[in-house]
Amino acid sequence: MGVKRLICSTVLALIGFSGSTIGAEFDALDVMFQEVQRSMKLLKREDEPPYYISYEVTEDVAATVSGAFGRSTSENYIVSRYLDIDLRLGDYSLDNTHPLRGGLETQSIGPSTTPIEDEEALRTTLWLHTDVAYKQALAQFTRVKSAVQSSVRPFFRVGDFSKYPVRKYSESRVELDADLAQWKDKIGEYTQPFAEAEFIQENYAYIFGDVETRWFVNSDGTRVLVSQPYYRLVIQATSKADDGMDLTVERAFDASTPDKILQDDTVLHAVHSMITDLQALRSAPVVEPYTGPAILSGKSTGVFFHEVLGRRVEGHRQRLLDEGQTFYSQINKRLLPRSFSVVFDPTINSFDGVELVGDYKFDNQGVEGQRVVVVNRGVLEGFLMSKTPIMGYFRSNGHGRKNYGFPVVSRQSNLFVEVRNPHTREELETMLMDRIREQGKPFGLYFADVRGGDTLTGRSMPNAFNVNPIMVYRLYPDGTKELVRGVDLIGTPLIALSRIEAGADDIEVFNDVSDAESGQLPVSTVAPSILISQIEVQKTESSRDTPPILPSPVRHLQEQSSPSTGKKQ
Amino acid sequence: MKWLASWVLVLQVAATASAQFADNDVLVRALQDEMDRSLAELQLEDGLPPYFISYSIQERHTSSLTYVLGAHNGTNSSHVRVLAVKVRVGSKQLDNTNFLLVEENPNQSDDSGVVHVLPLTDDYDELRRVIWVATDQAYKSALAHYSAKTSAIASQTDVERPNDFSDEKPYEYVDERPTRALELDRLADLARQVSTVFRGRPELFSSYANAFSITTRRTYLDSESNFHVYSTELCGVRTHAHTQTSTGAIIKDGTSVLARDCSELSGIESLKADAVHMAEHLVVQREAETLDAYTGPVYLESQAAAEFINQALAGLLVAVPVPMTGNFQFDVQIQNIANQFLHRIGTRVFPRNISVVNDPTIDERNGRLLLGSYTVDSEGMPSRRTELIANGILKNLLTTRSPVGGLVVTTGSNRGLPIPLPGNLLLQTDQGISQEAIREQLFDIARSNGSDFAMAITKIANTQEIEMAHVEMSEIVSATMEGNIAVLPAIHLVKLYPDGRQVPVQPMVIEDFVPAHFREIVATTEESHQHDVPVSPLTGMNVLMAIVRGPTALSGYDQTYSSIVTPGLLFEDMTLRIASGQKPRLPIVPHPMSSE
Repeated sequence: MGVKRLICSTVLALIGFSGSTIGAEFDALDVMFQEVQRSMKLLKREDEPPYYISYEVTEDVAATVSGAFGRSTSENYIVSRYLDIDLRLGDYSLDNTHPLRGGLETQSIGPSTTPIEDEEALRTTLWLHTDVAYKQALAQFTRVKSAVQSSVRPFFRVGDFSKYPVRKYSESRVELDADLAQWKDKIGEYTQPFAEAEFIQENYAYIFGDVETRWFVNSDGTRVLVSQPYYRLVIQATSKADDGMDLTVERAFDASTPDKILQDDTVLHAVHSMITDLQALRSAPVVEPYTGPAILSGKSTGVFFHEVLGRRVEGHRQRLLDEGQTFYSQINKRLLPRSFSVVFDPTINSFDGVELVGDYKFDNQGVEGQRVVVVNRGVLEGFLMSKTPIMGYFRSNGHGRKNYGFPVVSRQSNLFVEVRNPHTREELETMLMDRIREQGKPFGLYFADVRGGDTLTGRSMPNAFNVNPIMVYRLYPDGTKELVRGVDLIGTPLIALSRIEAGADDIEVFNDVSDAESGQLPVSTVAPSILISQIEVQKTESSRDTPPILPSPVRHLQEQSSPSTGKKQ
Repeated sequence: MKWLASWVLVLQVAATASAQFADNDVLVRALQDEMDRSLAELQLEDGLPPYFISYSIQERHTSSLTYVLGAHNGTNSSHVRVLAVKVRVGSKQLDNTNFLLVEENPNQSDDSGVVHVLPLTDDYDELRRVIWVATDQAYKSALAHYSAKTSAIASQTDVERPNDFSDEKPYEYVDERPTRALELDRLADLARQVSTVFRGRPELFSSYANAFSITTRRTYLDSESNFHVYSTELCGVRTHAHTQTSTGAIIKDGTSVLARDCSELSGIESLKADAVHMAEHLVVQREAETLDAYTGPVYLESQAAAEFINQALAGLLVAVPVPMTGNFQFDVQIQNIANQFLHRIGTRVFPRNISVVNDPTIDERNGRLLLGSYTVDSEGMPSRRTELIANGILKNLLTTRSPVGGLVVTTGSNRGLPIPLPGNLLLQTDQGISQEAIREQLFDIARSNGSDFAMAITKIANTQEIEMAHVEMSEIVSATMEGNIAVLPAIHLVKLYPDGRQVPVQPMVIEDFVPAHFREIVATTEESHQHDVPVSPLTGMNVLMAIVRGPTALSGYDQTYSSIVTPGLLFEDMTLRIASGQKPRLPIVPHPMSSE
C-alpha cells in the first residue's frame, strides 16, 4: 500500500464519519449539547450547581516528514481527539476560575482523549469527564471563596466571566492533503544544497500538515464546528564561526494548502540565500553592546510589536496579580506616534497574496473572531479579550484562544501595524543618518531578519523583551553597510515604544507559532519598516562547543574542509 | 524451529561477518568506515584516544490505533532510524563510564551515549556525516566524564573498585528473516472489534482497546568486532477499563495479548472473549467484599505468581552497576539497596526444591513463542542460559559488560536499559503438586492459624495493562527505599473456603515482604504459567536504578519483553492490606446509557 493511499484510506475509513460502522449517523454537536443540558439539569440538585459548561473536542489529523542534508529522516502520522471542559461554579461575578495569588485557577481539566463519531462513546466520555471537572471545580471554588473571604480587599470587582450571544455555525470538515512520498522528495530536494556546503554543521527541515477540527458547545446554546487546515515548511541550518558561536538561519513557509508551501523556485531561492547568509555571517564581526538609532525591517517590526505590545495587551494580563499590567493604566494615553495604529484581525486570511495563519472564524469560547483596534492614531484604546472581563472591558472580542489541554486566555491573532502617510524606505534611511549624526554615534543598526523573540510580562522579573535577529547590519553615515553577528535586541516596553519615530511603506508578513500559557498557536504580523531613535542590543548567548575534531568524511566536501584541531592528521 | 535455519547465520569467528556484510550493506559500511577512521585519528591534543566505540542502530516502524466503544480515538504511525554512539576512553580498568556527573541532567548518565536520527535512505555520504558528528560528540562527552571521574576518585580514600568493562570474546550474528507488520486497517479492525465488547455496559466508566504493531531492525557494531544485524516484530492488543466500587474505590483492569510473530496473534474471538471476561470480572469486583487486612497463607496462581516473580524477584537477580557520584557515602548506600543479593551468593534464598534459570535461548514453550527470547543482547553479547538459583541456593546474578563485585563476565543480559534484565525467567521444581493438593495444604495452614478461610490471588496489576496512579507508583518507590519489596496491588483475589465457596475481595497490596520470605514458599503446582511482561524500570529494585541512572539512550525506542514461567506458589505466611488508592465520590450524574 502506497503511503498516500495509506493516509487517505486511514483518514476516510478510520476517522471519517461516513465510514463509521458503529451506531447510526448522528450530529456530534447535537449529542454534545444534549449532554451539556443533561449535566446542567442533573447537577442543579447539588449545593453548588454549575452556571456554565462548555465542551470542546479538538481533532488533529497531522502528518510530518522531516529530513536533513538531502534525505528524509522520519515520518509521522497522527490522529488525535481531545476533549476540554470549562465548567464553572458560582456565578459570573465570582467563580472557581477566580485568579488567586500565584496564577490562574485552571479552567480546563484536559486534555482527555475522546471519540467523536459514535453516540455512546462520545456521551460516555463527556459524562465521565464532566464528573471529574465538576469535582475539581468544587475544590477550586472552595479555595476561591476562602481566599476572597480572608483577603483584605477584593482582587477584582469586574467578575470572572461574561455572557456572549448564542452562536450557531457549522462547516464541512477539511481532509488532510498529505502525500508523504512527495513530501519526502521535497525535503530531499530542499535540503540537498546544504549537503554541498562544508561549513554547515547542522540542518533540519520538516513539512507539517495539520487539519484541526473543533466541535464546541456551551450551556448557553452556542454550537460551532470549524475545520481549518495548516501546512508549514520550516528549514533551518546552523554553522559555527571560528570562535565557536553557533549561527542559525531559518525560513518558514505557511499556507492552507500544501502546494502553496512547496513552490520549488521560491523555496530553493530561500535555501540558497540561507547558505549565502550563513557564509557571510561566519566572517562577520561580533557586535559589542550598543545603544543608538536603528531601522527594523517589516518582519522585525512585526516580532517587535508582537513581543513588546501584543503580549501586554492580552486582556487577562490586566487581571492577574502577578502580571506587570504595563498598559492597564495607559488606556486612552499616547503610546505611539500619531500616525501609528495597531489592529488585531483574525477575519483576514491573506495580505498582498501572502496567506496569514492567525486567522480563525471562532475562538475557543465560541465567539467569532473580530477586528480589534488596540492602538488608534497612537492612543491605546483597548485590549484583546476573551470572555474573562477586566475593568472597563466586559465583553469578549473573539480572542479567547488555546491549544487543547490548556485553559483559554486572550491571545493574539493577525497583528497589523498600520502607518498613515508612510515614508519611503529611502526616506527612513535618510532619517536614520540624521539620528546617527545628532546622537554622535558611529553607526546605526538595521535589523533585516529575525527568528523570533520572547518577553517577560510578570512582576517578579524585569519587565523586558528580547528579539532574536538573524541578519543585522551596521549602517554607516557614509552609506556603507556591514553585516554583524551575535546580538539580541532588548529593552523595556514603554521606553521602546516611545522611541518609535516613523514607519515606511514596505510592508512584510511574518507567520510564526507563538507559545504562551495557553499553548502554541499560529499568529501573523503584517508590518512596515520602522525607525527607532534608540534601541539597545546585548551579546547573544553563545555555544562553547568546538567544531568537530576530524574533517567531514563526506567525500565531495573533504577538499573544502579545513584541517582539524586534533592531534592526528 | 527448522524454518529459521535458512534465514539465520550465526558466526563465531571474529572479524568476518561485518566485513562481508559491509560489501552489500551501505549502513554497515558507513559505520565501519567511520569507526576505523575515529579509532585511528580521533583524539584531542591533550586528551586520551578512544579505546572502545560502539554503534547501535534501531530502525523502527510503529503503528498504534485506539478505539473506545467501537469508535476511533487516535492513531499514531511513525518510521524513524536512530543511532546511539558510545565511546570509552581510558582503559577497561578505569574509563569514563559508571560515573554520574551530578550537576548534569539525571537523565543524561554517562552510559546513555549520544543519540542522533539517521537518514531513512541508505546514502553512504549522509550516513557518514551523521555518524561523524555523533562520534565526535560522544568522544568529547567521554573525555569530560573521564576527567571528572578521575578527579572524584583521587579525592577519595582507596576503595576497591571492579573494572569498568569486561573482557569478552567477540560475537557476530546475522538474521535476515523479514518482518511482517500488521497494516493499519487490520489493526483498526482488531481494536474496533475488541472495544465493542464494552458497549452497553454502563457499569464501566471508561474503556478502550489498543492494537499496535512494531517492527525493528537492529544493527550493532563495535571496535571489538562484535557485530549483529537482525529484525524483530511485535504485535499486540491491549484493553483497559475502570469503574468504582460502591465505596468509591477506583478499580482498574486490563488485558494484553502479544505476539512476537504478528501472524500468530490470537484470533478476534479469543481477544474479545478475554475482554468480556475482564469486563465481567470488573463488574463483580464493584460489589466485592472489603477486607482491611489479612495475615496468613496466600496462594499465588497463574498470572499472579508470574507477575509476583517479575516484580519481586527479577530485580534481585541482577547485578546492578551502580554509578559513582563522587559522594562516597551515598554511593555505598545505593550500592547496598540496589544489590541486596550480591553478597548472598552461595547462600539459601529459596526453598530447597526450587531452582531459577534465566534462559533467553529457548524459543518456545508448549508451542507458544516466548517473548523473552533473544540471541544477542544490546552490547553484542550472545544470550546464554544462566543458572541463578539451584535447589534454593543463589548461584549467580545476571550481568552486563559492566562488572559488579566479583561478577566480571557478562551473562548477555544488557537489553537496552542501564541494568541487566532477564529474558526467559524459569522457576522450576520437581516437587509440584496438583491444584487440589495445594488447596488442601492452604486450608490446613489456615485452620492451624485459626482462620476459616485462606486467600488466593489470581492477578497482580502491571504497568502494561493498567495505568497506575501516581500515588500507587510513589508507594512502590517509598517501600523500596525502606528496604522492602514492593509490588503493585493484587486486583483479582478471593477468599477461599474449604466448602468450595469463593468470595471476591477488593484490591489489596502485599505488605512488608522482604527477600527472606521467599523461603516461606511451602508448595508449588505441577503446572506452570507463562506470562510476558515488558521490561520496565518500574518494577522492584529497578525503580531505584531508574531514578539514579535514568533511561539509556535507546530505551525510549525499544520494546523489550521478558517471559516469566512459574508454577503456582503457596506462601505459608503473607500480609495483605487494603489498597490505599483514591476513593472519590461516585459519579453524580447517572451514566448516559443507564436506565436511571
